[in-house]
Amino acid sequence: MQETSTKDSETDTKVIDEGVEKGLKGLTPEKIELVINQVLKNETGARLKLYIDTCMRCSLCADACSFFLSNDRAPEFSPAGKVKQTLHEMIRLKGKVSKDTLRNIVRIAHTECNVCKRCSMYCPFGIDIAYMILLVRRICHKLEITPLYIQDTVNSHAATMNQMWVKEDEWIDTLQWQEEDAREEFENLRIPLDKDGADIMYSVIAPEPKFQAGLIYQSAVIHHAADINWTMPSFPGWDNSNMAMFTGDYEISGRIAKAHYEAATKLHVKKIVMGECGHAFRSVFDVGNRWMGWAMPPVDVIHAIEFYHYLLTSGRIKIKDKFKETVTLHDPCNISRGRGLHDKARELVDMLCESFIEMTPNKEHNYCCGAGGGAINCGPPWKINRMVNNREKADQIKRTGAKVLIAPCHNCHSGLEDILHYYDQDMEVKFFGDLIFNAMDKTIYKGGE
Amino acid sequence: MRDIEKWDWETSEKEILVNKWINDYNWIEEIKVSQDGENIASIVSTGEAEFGICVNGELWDESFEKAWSLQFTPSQKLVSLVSNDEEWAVCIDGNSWESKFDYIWDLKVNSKGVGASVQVDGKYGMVVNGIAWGDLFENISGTVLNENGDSAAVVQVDPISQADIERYNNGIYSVSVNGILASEKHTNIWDISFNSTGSEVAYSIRKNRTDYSIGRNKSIWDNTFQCSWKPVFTNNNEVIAPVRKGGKWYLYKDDKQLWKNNYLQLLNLAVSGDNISVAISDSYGKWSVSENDIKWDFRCDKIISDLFYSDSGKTLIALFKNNKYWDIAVNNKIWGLKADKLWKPHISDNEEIITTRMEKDGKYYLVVNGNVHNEGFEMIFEPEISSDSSKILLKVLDMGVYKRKILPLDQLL
Repeated sequence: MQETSTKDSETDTKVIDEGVEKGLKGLTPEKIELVINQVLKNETGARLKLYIDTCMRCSLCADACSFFLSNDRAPEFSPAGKVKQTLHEMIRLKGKVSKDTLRNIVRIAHTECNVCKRCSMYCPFGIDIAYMILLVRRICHKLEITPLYIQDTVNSHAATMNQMWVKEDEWIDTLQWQEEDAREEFENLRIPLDKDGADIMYSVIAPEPKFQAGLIYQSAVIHHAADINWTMPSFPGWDNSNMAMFTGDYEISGRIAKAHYEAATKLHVKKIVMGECGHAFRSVFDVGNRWMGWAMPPVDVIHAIEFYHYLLTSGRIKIKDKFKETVTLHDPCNISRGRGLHDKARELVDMLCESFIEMTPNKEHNYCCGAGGGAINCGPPWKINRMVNNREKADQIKRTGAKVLIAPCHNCHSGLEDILHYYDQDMEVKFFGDLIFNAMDKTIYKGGE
Repeated sequence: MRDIEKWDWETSEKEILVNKWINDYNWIEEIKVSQDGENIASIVSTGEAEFGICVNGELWDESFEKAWSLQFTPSQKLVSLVSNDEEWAVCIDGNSWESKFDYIWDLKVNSKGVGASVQVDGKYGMVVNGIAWGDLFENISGTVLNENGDSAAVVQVDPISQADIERYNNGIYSVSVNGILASEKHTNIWDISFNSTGSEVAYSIRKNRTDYSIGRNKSIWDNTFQCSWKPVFTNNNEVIAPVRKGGKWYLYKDDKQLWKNNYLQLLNLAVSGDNISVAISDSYGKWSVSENDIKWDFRCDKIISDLFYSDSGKTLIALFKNNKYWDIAVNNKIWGLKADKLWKPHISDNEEIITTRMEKDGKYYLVVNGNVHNEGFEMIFEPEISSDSSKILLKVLDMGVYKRKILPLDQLL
């Protein structure tokens, strides 16, 4: 029987977001109509028409959505229901949408859908509902009614090519600081900056230098012990994250992906290894690159799960002591449903941990952390709503009974910590990197051994 | 200045034992080699939190708490960013600049000297040949140092508080040339180019959240676009830029459409005399080169990373990746290298010799006119061509020994 968490309340539909309100104030009915119709006419085609014409409101997508389940199966939270209240309204009204309706549309598109694509797996026709929600966000972007905090993040991307306003000297200084500290572990450890012709460029997301520099330390220790020929760029392009992809600012999204790949080609690396982030992988592997016209990544790119799996199975990293407490695993949407890394993740867990309990549902059927798709980046105004909308996720985690939750994604990490705190669950969230760092034999790999 | 004729093109081989350094120091960092191949250098660890610069086995007199970004200039000087007592400076051939900074990075060297980005008390600017900009700013990005010694960057002129999207949208960024503001303020500015004399700059701008254009000094083009990439000046001082309209990319010159055809993407604009070339995508995921709006025959499916003309403009070279491998196309002819890593080639003065280096299966090889030299090395540094185009200067690491070799081209081809 399904256990229900103790905290509960309804989604607040009256949240005031300064960015949205200021944007709405500047709009005229003519501008709203013009922008909606321009996007629908110029930026859509057979794909959208097919989706609109095919959806028969069978509601099979509803039970796939954790928002729907978290809100007592209220129909307005079903994926098809969300499309009906947003894109369908725009189409039905031929762009003549009121500001009050637009306010609701922003809330639904930005904060009540994680564009996690779980619903598409349950749609008998495979309709990509996330595509339609992202199209709504594209219209919101062009109307300049994107929520404040995620817009600020995109502004940071555009100005600095990283999502957290990290200045160029701060980035390098942080790497040098972590390098110095990590010499406590290995006296000759380096974080090689701009090493031309290294095999691997390691890229991270901006919260690491900003708030979680210890993760760079850990990663440097892992690279060093595994004797990897690696580098990190000292120049913009080091941040693989991309919130513009989620606000519909495709031009900035493409520019971010361009900077990332140009950093890799400038350094002549064979491969990019990305840290533990899911949305960043989606950006680099699937979205930003494709806006640029790169059907597949122009430089090979792998997520940290694939990299760690290689290090452990090749013997470059040896595990000294497996983690003893029972762990469970959260499969991030963008690398599980999006890339199929869930089996490799379980093999990693098996190599690292003594006791594992599955979260149900899992693998490509796992629920989103609730933070994904830019939801957490919409910031403080929307946090309580996000928590309410994550009730199903909280229940899913609680049912495992585990004390440690592995989440190989930054967004998931932050979102899950919020959920655990809000629903008073005593559980610790860890990255795979945390587990490897603590369990590894800290001697340097020598080839041939 | 590169003075290739004065380099030693006669001594067939010189050696420096690099593996000895490994025993002398705690560790050595990446080896850097001067263009003439006579000097090799590395940052070396000489003690706890102490670093030296080792050149041909000899240490500079001064040691540093930190050192990075070691590189040789075209005039064979050795430059590093160094720090002692939490102050940063540029050190050239062992002599540190008197100017000190709270941080220094983005080192740029050319025939006119050395420039870098600097931070002092949380304010940002550039320093060129030891002289810092008079005015510093809230932030800096996209720095440029031209061959006349002029410096330019995108600077944040006004401070901004957290999540002040309105002020951001109104424009807080400008272009600074030699420390003096040279543009209006815009929402965003990227990709500054100088003209040939350094008297003008062009750049890409975002006027608001959705409208892009091209700026030239304090003016901007009348047309707005969905996106724009880096503009480039022609020899006639016109500005050319790839711009996006209606979901397609066009080439514009001085605010007017230049090429008849549009493309799915336009990157790596190259200009030489009257010739203009761009890496194009004309069908999704397929890349080629268009020269003067005429497409090359070849297609690749990954990326064209570099596109450039020889000095005379007669030779156009594209460095590209197809499937898993890197390759080069010269004037529409593919070499067929299948390299794992590949560097931008050099072209001889008479344009008959084109040489570069590549990595294949963990070994580095010399490439001349598309022929891969059969001897693989631990590392090859940038090869050079003699001014009479008869010899190659090959610089390699081989079993821990640095070797400077002169190879007659008639034995290679």
